[in-house]
Amino acid sequence: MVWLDGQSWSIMLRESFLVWSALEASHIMTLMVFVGTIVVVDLRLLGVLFTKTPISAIEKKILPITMLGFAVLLITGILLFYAKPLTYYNNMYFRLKLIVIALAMINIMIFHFRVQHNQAKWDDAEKPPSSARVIAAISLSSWILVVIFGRLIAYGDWFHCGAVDEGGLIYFFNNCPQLGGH
Amino acid sequence: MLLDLLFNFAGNADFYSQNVEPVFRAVDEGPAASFVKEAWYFTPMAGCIHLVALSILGGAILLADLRIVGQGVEAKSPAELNRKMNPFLIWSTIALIISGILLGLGEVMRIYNSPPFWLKMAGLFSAIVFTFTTRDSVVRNNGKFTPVAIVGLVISMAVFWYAWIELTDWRFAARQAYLILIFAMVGLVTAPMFLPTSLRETIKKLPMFVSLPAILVTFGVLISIAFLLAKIDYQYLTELDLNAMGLMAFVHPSILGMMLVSYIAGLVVWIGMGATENQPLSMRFVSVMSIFLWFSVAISGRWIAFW
Repeated sequence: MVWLDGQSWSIMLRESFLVWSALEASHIMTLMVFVGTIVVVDLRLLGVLFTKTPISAIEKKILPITMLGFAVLLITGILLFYAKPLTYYNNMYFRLKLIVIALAMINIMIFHFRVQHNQAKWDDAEKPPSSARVIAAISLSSWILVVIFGRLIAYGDWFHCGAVDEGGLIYFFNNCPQLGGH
Repeated sequence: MLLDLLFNFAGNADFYSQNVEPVFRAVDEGPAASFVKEAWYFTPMAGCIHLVALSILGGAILLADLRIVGQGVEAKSPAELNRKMNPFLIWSTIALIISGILLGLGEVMRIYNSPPFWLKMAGLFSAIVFTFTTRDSVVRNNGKFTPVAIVGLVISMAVFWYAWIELTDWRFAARQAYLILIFAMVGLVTAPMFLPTSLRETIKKLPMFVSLPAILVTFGVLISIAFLLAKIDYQYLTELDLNAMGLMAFVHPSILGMMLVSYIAGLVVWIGMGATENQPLSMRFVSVMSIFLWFSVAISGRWIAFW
């Protein structure tokens, strides 16, 4: 991380005034695209929204936009991390965000490989089976948590090493042992 | 009268320092702002609510508008989809405004002095007026512009563009560039209609990783050229050194912001290519404008942190 932080492109990116702000703005815009559309798909799977519309019809039209949003979100996110690797690496909320993203990805895998295989049977159902609803609830909560942790990254000093109990979970997540408790 | 009001709100520094600044200062010194500043958890929580509301609002806008442009849930009619999405739109806007006020209370004088904040306020006002008058009316009336729609369109566009122009330090160029942008956006949405169906289908059939970036880059380049032409004109007229900015001209906030918006327009065109005959042109125009307005609110909102 220290090596990455010292790279000339990383320094240029974090010290640039306009490119940095454009990256941040792109990240927020694609967040609206990605989270906004995935919420709709999840609400349909929960049986709350568009209950008369087949799930496949919603997936076919909405998921490509969701995936496109995620791709841009990932690219801008990687660039933002590349610009300030040490800041993010040592930020508790960034770590929590990555963990929740990983959980959301596993949830998508489970849906794709385990739950979706018999979708034809419940495609038109107003209320999909409980397995699909559980997946949708986990997905919805995960992505909202990702947004929340993402926002909290900016408030990294909220729980800084000097303010939390040594040896606790927050102490560990803040990378305080490596930082020497500072 | 209206122009005077717009001038006062968008560009008259004396009006601000004499009338608006004392109000902001009083709020900053008031009990509500003190409470928010002292409660360490308040600003982060309001920030989280603000961002979640913004994401939900993005989904509601995209779902309703992309259906009109071409990529949406076709099982529902545009009017029906618009109606379905309205509660999400209304409640997320309310959450956005309340959490925004709470966020603002923590840094009243900073936002007062921030151009992106005023840009965001102008954008928010325009987006709300446009969405709930023009867009709603045009979609409900299957593309027909009613008097309400026209009044909403005039008010929202006047406030939005006037604020943008007055708040950029690059006024003459901005005026030209934004005019070009409006024409470009209308052109972008209508262009596929003039292409032969076979050509449209061929483009759409190209792999996504070829056709989509090509269209986005084309529109990005076109709009950058428009801005650079306007910039050169401005520099010539004001006798500035033409080469002074060099490549920096590309990273001017106006260019960057509009390039981001041009990518959205390009994306919308690409998405709508297969459905050019489905909805009237006026409906597609108001949908693209609605996406544009709400996304510009998000951009200027993010930029409050930098200016």
